[in-house]
Amino acid sequence: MAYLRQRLLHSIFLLLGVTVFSFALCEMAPGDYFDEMRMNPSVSRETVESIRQQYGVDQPLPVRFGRWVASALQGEFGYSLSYNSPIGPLVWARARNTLLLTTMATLLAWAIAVPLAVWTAHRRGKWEDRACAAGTSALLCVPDILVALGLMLLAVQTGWFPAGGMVSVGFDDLSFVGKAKDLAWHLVLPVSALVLGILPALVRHSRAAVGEAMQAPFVDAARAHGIRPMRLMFRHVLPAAANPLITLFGLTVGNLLGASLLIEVVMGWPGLGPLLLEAILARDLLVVIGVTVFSTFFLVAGNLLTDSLLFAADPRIRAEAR
Amino acid sequence: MNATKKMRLALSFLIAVHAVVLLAGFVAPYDYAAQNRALPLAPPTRLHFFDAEGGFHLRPFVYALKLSASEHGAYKEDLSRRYPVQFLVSGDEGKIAGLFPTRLHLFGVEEPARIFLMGTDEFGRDQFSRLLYGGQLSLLAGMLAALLALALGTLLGMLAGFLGRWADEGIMRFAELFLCLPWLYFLFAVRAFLPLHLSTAQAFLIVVALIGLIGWARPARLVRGVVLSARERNYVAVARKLGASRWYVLRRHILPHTYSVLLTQAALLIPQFILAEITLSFLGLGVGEPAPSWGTMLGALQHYHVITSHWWMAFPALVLIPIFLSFHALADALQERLRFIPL
Amino acid sequence: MQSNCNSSPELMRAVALSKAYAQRRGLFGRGFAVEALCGVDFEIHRGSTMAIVGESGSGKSALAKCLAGIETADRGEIWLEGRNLTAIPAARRLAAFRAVQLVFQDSASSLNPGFTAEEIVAEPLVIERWGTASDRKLLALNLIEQVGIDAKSASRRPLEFSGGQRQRLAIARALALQPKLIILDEALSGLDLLTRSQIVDLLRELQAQQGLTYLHITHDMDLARRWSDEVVAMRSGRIAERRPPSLSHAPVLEPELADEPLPVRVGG
Repeated sequence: MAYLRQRLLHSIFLLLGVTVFSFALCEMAPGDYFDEMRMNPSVSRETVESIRQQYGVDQPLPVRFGRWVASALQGEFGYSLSYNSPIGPLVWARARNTLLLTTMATLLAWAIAVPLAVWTAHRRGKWEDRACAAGTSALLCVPDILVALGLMLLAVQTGWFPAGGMVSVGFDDLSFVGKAKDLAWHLVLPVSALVLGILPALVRHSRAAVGEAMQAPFVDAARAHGIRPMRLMFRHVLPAAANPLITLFGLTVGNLLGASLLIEVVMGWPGLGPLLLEAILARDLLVVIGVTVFSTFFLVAGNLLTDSLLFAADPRIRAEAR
Repeated sequence: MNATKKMRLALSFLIAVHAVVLLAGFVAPYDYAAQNRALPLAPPTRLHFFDAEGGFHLRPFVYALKLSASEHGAYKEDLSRRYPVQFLVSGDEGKIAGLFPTRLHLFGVEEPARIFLMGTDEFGRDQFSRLLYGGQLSLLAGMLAALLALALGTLLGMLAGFLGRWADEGIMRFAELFLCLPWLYFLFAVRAFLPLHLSTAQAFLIVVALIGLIGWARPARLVRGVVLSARERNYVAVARKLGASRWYVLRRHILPHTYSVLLTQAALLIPQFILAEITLSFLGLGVGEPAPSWGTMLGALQHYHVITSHWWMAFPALVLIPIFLSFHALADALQERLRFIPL
Repeated sequence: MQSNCNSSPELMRAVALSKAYAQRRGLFGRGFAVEALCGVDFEIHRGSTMAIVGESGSGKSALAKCLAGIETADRGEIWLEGRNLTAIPAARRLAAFRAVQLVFQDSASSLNPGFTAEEIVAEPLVIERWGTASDRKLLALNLIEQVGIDAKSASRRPLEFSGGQRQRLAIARALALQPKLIILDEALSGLDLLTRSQIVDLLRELQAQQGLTYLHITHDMDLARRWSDEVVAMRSGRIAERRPPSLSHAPVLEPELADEPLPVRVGG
């Protein structure tokens, strides 16, 4: 338990670090949301200044940071000037969409990667193994942009899937089942793009983990005892491979989040990615901070989850923590 | 194919690509900013060996393009006159490696015909020329950023490994911050706080600096590992006992062992960083017009209808595939070759 | 073998050496100290060979490191030829310990795999800034020949040599600064019996030629008996027993230190 407490403290430290970092950067950023307004000759300087004061943008940094943290703890993340809405709900709504996308992609990618890894590890050196290795190497070299664009091309040419967006027009009028179907239909392409992006690295590393576990002396001993391959795999090899696989899971959370940024923008999925981009272009820096902190929060939560899983799955970690 | 052969092949290909890109001033027939307003979104010029009457010509030739009157946006070849492809022609001024001006180009055709090997964009700019010039930007950005990340990572990794205790704890915690974050989000977030509109040179430097400064953490961890295990070796103890300074130990005993790690890391990081620059420019946050970064060139594809009717705009992305393949093959070969060099 | 312990002058004397290593359980665990040496006293005479035996954890390596100057004892004194080395201020202490050199057990980790044999042997001279580069090269090749390795292989790297040859190189390196005392910390433990005896012959030869003194640390009682003028047994950071090797066949007071092979009846 002390182990988990330590990891929790660590995560909080991380979150705090990122927040402070973002605010420090914010301070150094030249210009703010009101630059456009200032350049407009019909708006007087006094008006701009008074609006700035109203939004508290002219306060010194520690004051702003303090106020932000205080309100953040209450769930209030400030107000977006470009979206004209409080930031918290805005970011949360988008974050839910990103979460949906990345969770689906994670499940699918792992559902493909682990069986594939087990199967090719079984047939190590044979043509299936080598074909898989060649395939993953090739896929690794295709940039995400190309994959996303390729899928969009597919959508437009065949019309089988919607070319972007999360829901169709008239979504609200559908029944629950209809809504689910519509959502799923829109999910196919972005999820595929994400999965194709992370699958090669995932398969490679899983294959390495399973392959290494299979070569451990205790597996040879078990095999010599006459334990059948199926049971060998599930009762002996996979538990041993659990540690590297769970660690891999923790690493892919970060990669997925990063990959989702581009995919969401290109495929028009209304997640954190497009929000971040628009906020940057509109110089709505509070939104940028909100998105950064949110995404870090998800990442940190993912890492904590990984640590807990590791603790539960690997007796060595439990022993070390004692 | 064994590791050495793979390494040589990959390295030769990469060197060839970089050489061609550096010689863009010579190899590219046109300047990257030269517009042809009459020929927007023209498809790649077809090279012909057989003319309209069926006669064969050894030297390939092209026809002049005209916008079709009937179909919107389609082009028709004007079969009235052949324009043979000429080699080593004199044309617009270009720059070799950005420094040496030259009027000599590898190939070209007589005015008013144009040879667009990869078509044109909406301003009628030759995509092939832009690809070559853009390669200078994107490939160089990746390399410089990798250099920065490796240099910074080595410095901090060494400090952490050598000084130990508080320095080690502090630096490694700091590194964890960077390693833990969604890298691309972080990049974008930091980019957010910088001025939006920058000159090409400024933008290039900022992009390189950003990517390099964010990517230092993994090399630092690896170098620290090398330093930590090298420190424990008895040959270091012997040297220290004889009165060797810390600097001597670092230089003679520890640094040489980092080279293999750094080399492999370079082969892995450069393609990642090239992609990072391209992603930034693609979304409008990197180098801007008219600089032909491959990302900027791909930016037109954000409106996906472009790719359905103008597939040649995707060339910058297609070209990345063999380049990344080579880098990965190089990294694999290096990892294998350098695996048996013990500490 | 008659011990010449008492006839020759004293080379090194350790007085009440104590050293503890601080450990910590995890990042926030409680700290505790491991006492590696607790008041060790002994002396070693010039030209003799002393063996220190003991099980792991008895403090042998800590003793070797303190005597070589690699680590500093918490308490106690080390006297070398009548000079109190521990009283010398830290800045100049290392120079005084130059007369004591160390040969380690694992030659693979005590020789930098990226160096050539010549560079390894010449390194002490380089650090001391002795002579010109060609002087150093000449001396290094000389030393390499002296330990029985063909000078032609001086440009090879450690991994191209066998384990025994690597130890010879380590010995050559130790000889570079003309030491008076060479401490061999389990230096023969990783070698097969044939190589081991060859190296012992080499060391004996060098001792006769140059009047070297050896302190060798081993867990092999047999080796200690066969090659030493005096055997010192350590246990839990203290010296438990001292005896000349000829008396090693006498009933052992500390049974766990004996390494007697089981009696085997040979047919006939």
